[in-house]
Amino acid sequence: MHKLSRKEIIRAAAITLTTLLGTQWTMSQSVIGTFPRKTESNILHQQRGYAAGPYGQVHYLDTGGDGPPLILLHQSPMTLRQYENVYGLFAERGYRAIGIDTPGYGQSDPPSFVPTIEDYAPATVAVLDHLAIAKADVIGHHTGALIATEVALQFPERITNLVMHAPLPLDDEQRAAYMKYTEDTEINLNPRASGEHLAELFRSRNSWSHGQISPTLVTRYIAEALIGYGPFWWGHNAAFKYDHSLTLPKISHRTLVIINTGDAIYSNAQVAMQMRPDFEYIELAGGGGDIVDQQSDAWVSAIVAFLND
Amino acid sequence: MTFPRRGYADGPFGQVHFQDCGGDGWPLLLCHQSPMTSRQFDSVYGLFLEKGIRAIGVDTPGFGNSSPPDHVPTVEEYATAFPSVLDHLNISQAAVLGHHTGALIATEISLQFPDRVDSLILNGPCPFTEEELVPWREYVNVHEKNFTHKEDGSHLQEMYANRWQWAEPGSDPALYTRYVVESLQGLGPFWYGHHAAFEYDHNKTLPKITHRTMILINTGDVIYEQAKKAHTMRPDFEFSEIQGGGIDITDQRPEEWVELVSNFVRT
Repeated sequence: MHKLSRKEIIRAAAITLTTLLGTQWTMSQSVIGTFPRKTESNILHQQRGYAAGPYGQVHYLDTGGDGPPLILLHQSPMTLRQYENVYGLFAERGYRAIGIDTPGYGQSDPPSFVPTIEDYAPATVAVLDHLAIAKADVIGHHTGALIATEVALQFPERITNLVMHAPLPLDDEQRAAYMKYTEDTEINLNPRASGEHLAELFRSRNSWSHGQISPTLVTRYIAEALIGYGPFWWGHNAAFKYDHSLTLPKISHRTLVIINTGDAIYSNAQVAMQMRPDFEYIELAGGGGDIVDQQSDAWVSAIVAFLND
Repeated sequence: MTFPRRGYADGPFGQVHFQDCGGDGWPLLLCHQSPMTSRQFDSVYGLFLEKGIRAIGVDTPGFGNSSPPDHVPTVEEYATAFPSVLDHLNISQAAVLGHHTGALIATEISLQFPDRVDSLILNGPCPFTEEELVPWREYVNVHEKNFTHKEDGSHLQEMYANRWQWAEPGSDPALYTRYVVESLQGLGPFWYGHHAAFEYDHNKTLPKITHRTMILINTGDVIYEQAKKAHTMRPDFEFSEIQGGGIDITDQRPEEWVELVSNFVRT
């Protein structure tokens, strides 16, 4: 019997601990630390990097390869990790998926002023330039769908197809309600010595996913919300001040609206389709604000079907 | 832009994320404590730049944005990631500073890659006895390995309370919120760092150090006595101490801390 190295002993001890302590422990140590989804093909090729953008550095993740490039823009207040479960799925279907941290979120530098959706758009193009990509499909979820719209309008020659998960043509009453939510849970979040603010933020965030997301993953969402270099309310603030009703009619690219019936802004997608019956439309049943994690395969399949059509 | 520039080097466990102040100053590699990131040094990057020192903070593999090892790592293994950053930045030799877990990693960098190290600063060396390690290992078991995520979010409040117990009166809850988030943002399990630290035997490696070395400590640091012991083992090392403070000295006394480090690095 060969003498065990220190490394082998520690590994064996870790496996034993996992067995002894059971599933919950395994979740707590693995899910937060999973980046990206652990398929071999994926881990080998995913590269994170920085592009020089209009407000400083723009952080991205690129699955690489020769496939058609596809940009993923995240919701607020999250980061490119929102798409952790789908980078590999897009890569397996032959696409080069590129996630971008919106300025002020994740590792991207914040603007020096309170930004609008229009201001966020040029950072996306900075990544395309850095990677020498002339044209890409652009996919956005919630706030990301609004940024994607602005990329399409401001830089039409850089976009092939547009995919919006949950467009947001708001009426005045809805706009006021969402701004109040942003004020109550984000702008007025007051860090206290008791740490209660973190539990409050967790509960508020947990309510979006209708109990369908593990507390471990929601914990990562909270870390995503708070890790940025900018105030985490900027994204929702920009989103709820943006008037999608004015810009939806201007979109000239081939466009897919995708929505899930459990999304809080499901009805806004119906309004968008009335405005633009020429857009393609797909809906998934159920889910919530975290559909990318709730129905990863179905979500990717629906988008790929549109892009390949 | 007031931030240092961030970037990635290719290392033995995947990408190694760093923050680099740039400039022509003497390079100083900064190794953070557990479970934190290169943001532990956010208060001092700018101060080093003013002193003519090029500070480079590195996220330990599995922390911050650095890729994690695919196994439970040792301090010896962590050290192998750091020369990747020097290679990437075309730096042949740097001063290396480590705080707590980082001091152990810095020790290993100096032993494994002596040619890449100019001088060494151990901010909180840890020559623990086996007996002294028992409560620390228990701490890792209770608060880190067995940390579970609960439906009501109370685990976040507990984690915060556990971190806040180290705060000086008048500390900023927003800063301690960021510390908690630093623990949780990593791509690897956050207990790996302390686990590696408390398996490492600094008693065996302190005598092997050949570089010009300074022990840096503050009297309020929970491992202050360990620094005194390390100095007894190595009376040839320089020794500097700051009054008061706690484990977050880089945010608590940034000017004084930078002054002591800069004076040592530049002499």
